[in-house]
Amino acid sequence: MSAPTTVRPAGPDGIIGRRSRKVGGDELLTGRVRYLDDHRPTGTLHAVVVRSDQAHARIDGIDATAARAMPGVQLVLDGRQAAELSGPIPYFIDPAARGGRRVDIRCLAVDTTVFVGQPVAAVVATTRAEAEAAAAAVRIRSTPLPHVLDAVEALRPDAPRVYDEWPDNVVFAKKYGIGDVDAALAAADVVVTEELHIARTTTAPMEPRGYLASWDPADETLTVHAACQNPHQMRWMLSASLGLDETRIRIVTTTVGGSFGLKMQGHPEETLIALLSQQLGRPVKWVEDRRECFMAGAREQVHRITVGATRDGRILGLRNAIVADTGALSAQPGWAMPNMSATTLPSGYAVQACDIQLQVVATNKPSLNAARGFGKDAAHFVMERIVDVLARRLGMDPAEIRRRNFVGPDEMPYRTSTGLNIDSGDFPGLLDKTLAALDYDALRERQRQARDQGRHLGIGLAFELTPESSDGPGTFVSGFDTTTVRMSVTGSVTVLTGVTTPGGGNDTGIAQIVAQELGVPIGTIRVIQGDTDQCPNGFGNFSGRSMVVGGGSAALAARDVRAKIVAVAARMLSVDPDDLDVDEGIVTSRTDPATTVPVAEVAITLLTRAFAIAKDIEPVLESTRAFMPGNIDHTPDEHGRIQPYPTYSSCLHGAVVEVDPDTGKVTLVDYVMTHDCGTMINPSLVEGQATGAIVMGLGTALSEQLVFDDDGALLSDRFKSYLLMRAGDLPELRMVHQVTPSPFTVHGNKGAGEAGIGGAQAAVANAVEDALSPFGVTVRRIPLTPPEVLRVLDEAAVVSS
Amino acid sequence: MTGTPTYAAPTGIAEATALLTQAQDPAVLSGGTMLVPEMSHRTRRPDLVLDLRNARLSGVRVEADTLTIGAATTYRQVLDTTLPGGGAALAVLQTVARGITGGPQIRNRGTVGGSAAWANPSSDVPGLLVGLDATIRVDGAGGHRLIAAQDWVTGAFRTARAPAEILTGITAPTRPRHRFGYVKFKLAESSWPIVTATCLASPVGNVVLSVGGAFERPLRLSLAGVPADLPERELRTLLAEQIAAADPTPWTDVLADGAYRARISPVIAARAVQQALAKDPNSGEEPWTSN
Repeated sequence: MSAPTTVRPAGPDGIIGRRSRKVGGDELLTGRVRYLDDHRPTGTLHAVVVRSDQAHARIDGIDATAARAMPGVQLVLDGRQAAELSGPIPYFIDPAARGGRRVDIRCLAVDTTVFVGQPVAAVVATTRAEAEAAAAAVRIRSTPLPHVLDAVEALRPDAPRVYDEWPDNVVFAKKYGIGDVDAALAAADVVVTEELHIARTTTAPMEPRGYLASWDPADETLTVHAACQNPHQMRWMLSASLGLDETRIRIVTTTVGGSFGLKMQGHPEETLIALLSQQLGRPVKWVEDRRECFMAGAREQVHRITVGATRDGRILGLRNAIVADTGALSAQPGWAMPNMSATTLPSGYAVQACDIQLQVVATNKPSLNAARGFGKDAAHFVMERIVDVLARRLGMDPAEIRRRNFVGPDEMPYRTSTGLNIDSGDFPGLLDKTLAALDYDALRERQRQARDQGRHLGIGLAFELTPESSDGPGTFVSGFDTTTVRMSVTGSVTVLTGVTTPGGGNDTGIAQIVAQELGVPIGTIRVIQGDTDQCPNGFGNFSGRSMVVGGGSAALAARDVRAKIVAVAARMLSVDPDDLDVDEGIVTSRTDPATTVPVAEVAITLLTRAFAIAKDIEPVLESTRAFMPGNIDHTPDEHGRIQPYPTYSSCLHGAVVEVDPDTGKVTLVDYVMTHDCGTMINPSLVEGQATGAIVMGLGTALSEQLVFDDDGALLSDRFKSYLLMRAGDLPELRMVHQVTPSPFTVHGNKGAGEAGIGGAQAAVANAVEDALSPFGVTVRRIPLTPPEVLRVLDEAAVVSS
Repeated sequence: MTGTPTYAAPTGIAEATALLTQAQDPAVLSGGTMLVPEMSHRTRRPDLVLDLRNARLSGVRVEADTLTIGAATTYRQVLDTTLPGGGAALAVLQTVARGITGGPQIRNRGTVGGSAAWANPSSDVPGLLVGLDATIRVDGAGGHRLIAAQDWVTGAFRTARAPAEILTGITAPTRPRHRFGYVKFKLAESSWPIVTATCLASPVGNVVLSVGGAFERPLRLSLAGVPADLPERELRTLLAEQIAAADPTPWTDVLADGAYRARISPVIAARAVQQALAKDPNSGEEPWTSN
């Protein structure tokens, strides 16, 4: 990473904005942190899930006789037994509450299975190996039913039904956008239409999911250690599915080795492992294996998109029909992602006539799971692709066509056709910085020279707008969060926050904010996250929310504690409170810098000499505050549109590729991303997140895809068949920063961490099409694996002949 | 079989082959980079795991223009070999070892013999051995057999080795005056090889090459007197004709289908030939030293 061009220091000493070292980084590097599987209480039993080997089948019987007799086996539970002991798992986002269809989600399939890999039974044994051996001995007798594996096929009237009781396979359908699109397209000088396909991919964190449930039969309490993102939601879900009072459940989030949405709650194993522990009265652990982890799907969508524009490149209207393949339904929020593909269109372009029709369709594949980008990625792949197609049709430079259509910085906040209210941004500024970093004109010249030598260099640009920190009314997708800041008698500070970290480092960012707002050294602060018995009610990690609302609420709470410190110190120093500064643990008089008192001394004074020093000041050095950012508006406008996002980060990608037309291999030559997430609390952590998101986007653009056989079994279930990017596949990823503070958050920061995927996908796809433009190709599918690139070339050859 | 397999790490071949003869479904363990994951995934359930670690089968030797590679020689050991006189054969073997995907762990564990015995069409070694005109030795209770590399792989994941035999060693002519080319095509860094091509060119341009990855069995091709300046398109055409004439069985897996592999085979093969021929035979250097 090159150094950022601009970092706005916030505050006098700039702890906010500093590249502070990651909290706990030394423990991570030396292998001392404990992930879920490192928690091994005495007497822990191990669970293995028996899964369906049929895409769609009626379960005729489950024979566990042999399995129960095997060494170490403590319990075998099937779906019928589990259904007597537990209820349905509540949805994180209930499709029925949004006008869609639902089915009851159970921790184990009861009578019917609807995808290969669906949990059917569970085996608990003394060791994992014993449980695996016994699980292999469980016999499922079933009658196959017709299945459908493709969403477009699933929409046909005669398609097999994933859920027998439904009239069709549509989970959710909705129209988005306002404006007269027919008139806009009729008025256009040029209209282009493409059908674009995004393959099913997955998140593949280093650490898969895992849960350790410990039921204490003596006091009837349940403690669940979990590699998860949303501990409070999990507590609620387990309370509902197990019929337990929430006060009897404690969720402890362990150190998490990557989440990317995968570890949001609603997975059947959460209820299942807790139930198994309840039945056995002993701790039961389940750690997902890598093949199970690969079942989590994301992003599989088909977009038929049309835009019309004037001769000079101004886009007048957009029409898009989206078919999203959600697989089988799950209580996890993944099914809702395509909703954001629709809402995020037309991105940061001023196109007021949009007609976007979304259909979320069930198939007999594993469930869609929340994945970084949360559907917004698809909007960018599609929009940036069609903008390039339009530019080519008009003979315009792709940079220029974007510039002509961007919402201007002076138009902010800007209400889009789909109802989003973009808080702030400078999109032409992003373009200028990216073009400068690429040395665009020189690069175009280099491209011409390369072509003369028979080499195929391509340049791809892609803009990305990332709505972040979502609020879904009536769901546990919350746009606020809560933090307690508590100072002890020695002046050390505990921060208890409702947001959790997936490993990205928001605990470090929150500590920086508290250090600055409270005026204490960062080393005196300990941030505790993810423990429902310790932390205030919160919502965990998703939607780039952790620094906006976790950091924002921490700032408000820290300011309260600071005010108390100042009030007491003023008594101790006999000065006016307004005369006092607090910085790095010292309270200092502005007018007489020699007049000082350490914060620790103020704390011990208040807490041990309250009646002597400050009888009228309540001796509490603690505050709990929630931060509700501005710009969220759930009152539907005259078109029924709501505005669920406070902040909109933006970025502009530039990719340079070389394509080998003999093999179809795409080589990344250079990569630039100009990124604007408003104020950066910690640029290193922002860059780390953005780098990861770009690489996830590049992988899904070039090599990653989940492949199923005709019977619905996953074939790409190892890292040798699901190809993630490695360092050797990547050029140096260059990052340039632009800072356009949000007017709606405490520090002007916007969500960071999701931006990068759709832009990277689109930039690469645009670059490949640009490289192969002499052949007249159109890129319509990702990933652009070498065989796919040759297919694209063949397609162009057929068209031109 | 459902129980825990017996594990044995015998110190000699006679003891090892005796154990294999007694087992129902034995697995020979070399580096374990394939067998251990298969066993973890319960897709392979042997009753005996016969570990070659103590059988003294590792190491590389050169004797009288013959390169000998012990069956349990790791890629790391290949790379650490500094023997003189290994010729083009050792140089190309080291090129292959350097490009083994999976990082130091795999190069430290994975073995040349193990890969030959696994016979994954999408891997480097089976094709390499054909290109080297290597000979493979297997030992069984009744003695040993020598098998030409071309006859070694009988199909995808199948070899001429009988279940009670052990691959004990590989020999190949060193080819001290030959030049070589080795081209491996992968979809991405983490991918199995999709197509590999090994080329050995004699000082007068007689070329032997093998194509791996594309077909169930590696393909051996030869061209006589190829001029170094033969245009790539012509070379490709020549190779494509030879490949078509051999009518090999295409290999399809989740990464790429047989049609794709077959289509790019002449491209990759031609690149290997050009790489070999581009090395100047009159430079005064050992012809195989540069790559």
